[in-house]
Amino acid sequence: MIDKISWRLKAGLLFIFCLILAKYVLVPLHARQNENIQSIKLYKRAVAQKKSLIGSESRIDSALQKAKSSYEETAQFYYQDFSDVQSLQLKLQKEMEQLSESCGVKIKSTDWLYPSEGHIVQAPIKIKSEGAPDRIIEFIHAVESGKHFFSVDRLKIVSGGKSSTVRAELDVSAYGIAD
Amino acid sequence: MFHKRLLAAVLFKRVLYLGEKDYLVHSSGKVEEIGDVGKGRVPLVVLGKKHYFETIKSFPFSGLKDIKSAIETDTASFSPFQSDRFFIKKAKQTNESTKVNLWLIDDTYKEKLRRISPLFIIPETALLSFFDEGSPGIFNIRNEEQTLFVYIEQDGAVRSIFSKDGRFDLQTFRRSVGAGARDCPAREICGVEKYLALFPGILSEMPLKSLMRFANPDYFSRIIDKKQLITGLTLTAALFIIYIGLSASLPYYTNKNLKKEDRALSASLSGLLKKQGSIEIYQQKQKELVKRVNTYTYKLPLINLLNKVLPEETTIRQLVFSGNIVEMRGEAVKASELLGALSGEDRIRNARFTSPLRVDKKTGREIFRLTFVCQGSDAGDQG
Repeated sequence: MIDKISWRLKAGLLFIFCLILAKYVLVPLHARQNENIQSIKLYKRAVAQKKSLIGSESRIDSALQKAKSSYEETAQFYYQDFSDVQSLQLKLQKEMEQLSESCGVKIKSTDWLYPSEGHIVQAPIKIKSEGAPDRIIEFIHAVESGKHFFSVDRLKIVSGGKSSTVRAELDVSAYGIAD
Repeated sequence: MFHKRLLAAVLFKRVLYLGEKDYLVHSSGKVEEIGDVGKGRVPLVVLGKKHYFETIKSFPFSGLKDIKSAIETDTASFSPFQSDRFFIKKAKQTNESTKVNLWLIDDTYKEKLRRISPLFIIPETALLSFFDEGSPGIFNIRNEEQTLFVYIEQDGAVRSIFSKDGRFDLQTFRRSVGAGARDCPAREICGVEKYLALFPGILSEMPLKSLMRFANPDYFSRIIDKKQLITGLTLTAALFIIYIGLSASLPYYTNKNLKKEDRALSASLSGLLKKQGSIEIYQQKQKELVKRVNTYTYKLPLINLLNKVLPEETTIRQLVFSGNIVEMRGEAVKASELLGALSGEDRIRNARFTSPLRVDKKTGREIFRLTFVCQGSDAGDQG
């Protein structure tokens, strides 16, 4: 039977067979192989990492202590003992009032702005204040170099014309770590 | 010339002559008698006179294709024996007819040729017609008791006769082939070795186009031994399956083993891994906290910077810091100097006026409004 088929037809059939083989066997197989190879690479890395941990308990313990203390040191700049964002804004307001008083700056009004939620909470307030230019500068210095990290997101200083005082508007934010 | 050298190197390295006995003719001219001819040993076979019938015919049409069709429809009328394989060479063409040389291969010899399956099959007298092509001549080839007389006409047509036991002599041959052969020079060759040694030379001078007329059509459609075919295919399929199987299974099992090992390690090192995870979490959190502090643009250093770079006699009426963008409104003796002063600072970029300068009629000073961008500062700049 096969002898009676011309070589052209045989070549055609072989070509079609090769195409089908490539499409439905070789290509999917190659894709599967690639997946396996990628997975092997990942597992090899993971296994090597895990093997390197064996016998290094003390090193990991000390690294953990170091990471923890380093984190806690940085976290000191952020409020942690607050129940909600509003309480944080209240704390900030009181802190600002205290600082302004110590710097000789008069706070004329305070508004609470919209806070941001998340792991790190941003609690902003707007302060309108008035004082001598050097007092205002000292107040800004006090805000930016306090025990906690406060950011002055917006600062507007306007001179009072003939008056020796300046008006300062500050958008100040306090930050807290929400657990 | 290059293609001729290539052909000679590839095709005519060894030529098989199938006559009363079989000979292998090397390109160097060395002739070697052989017994059984193996499969596919040579690409070119020169067929002895006894295996074909030679004739000269005229056809009323010129196309070789038409001539071929005409012969195919009734080969029996052209050949004294059964034949379905023939070669044609056009000798002369006029307006009325075309004279061709025909070589019809004996079917009883087909099986042997099929087994050898050469790329070219050339009847020996056809090959001789390419010796000193264009000039007529007679070959008188003697081998033991046999003589082959070949007459090559002016137009390249070939007439030949095979004589055994001296039944024909040269004179008889000259008379039998016509007046043209009467004064034609005759070349006498004694012995098969001398005769066959001519082949490499003739073949190397033979035009490729002429050679193509003697291509073996069965070469591409030869019947393959079924048993061998099945064995070959089975072996190929088996190798292919083994290859596919190995290439698929090796990564699969490696992956599976690694997964298992990873799981076992995870189980035995769970405490350490947890600690490792905690370290990463602490580091990540700290990074987040530090980033916020480090990317903050401290305002006091900026105020100090402005205080330092702004020219004397400059009065700032309004100063606005929004993130790292600073807007400033005020008066100066020469406001254009402000931009130069600000641009000279590394941390200040894109300083420009946001409104046209105006002159205060009372003081004569220029009223300006400008903006610039401040590059990040650090806490250490404070104070």
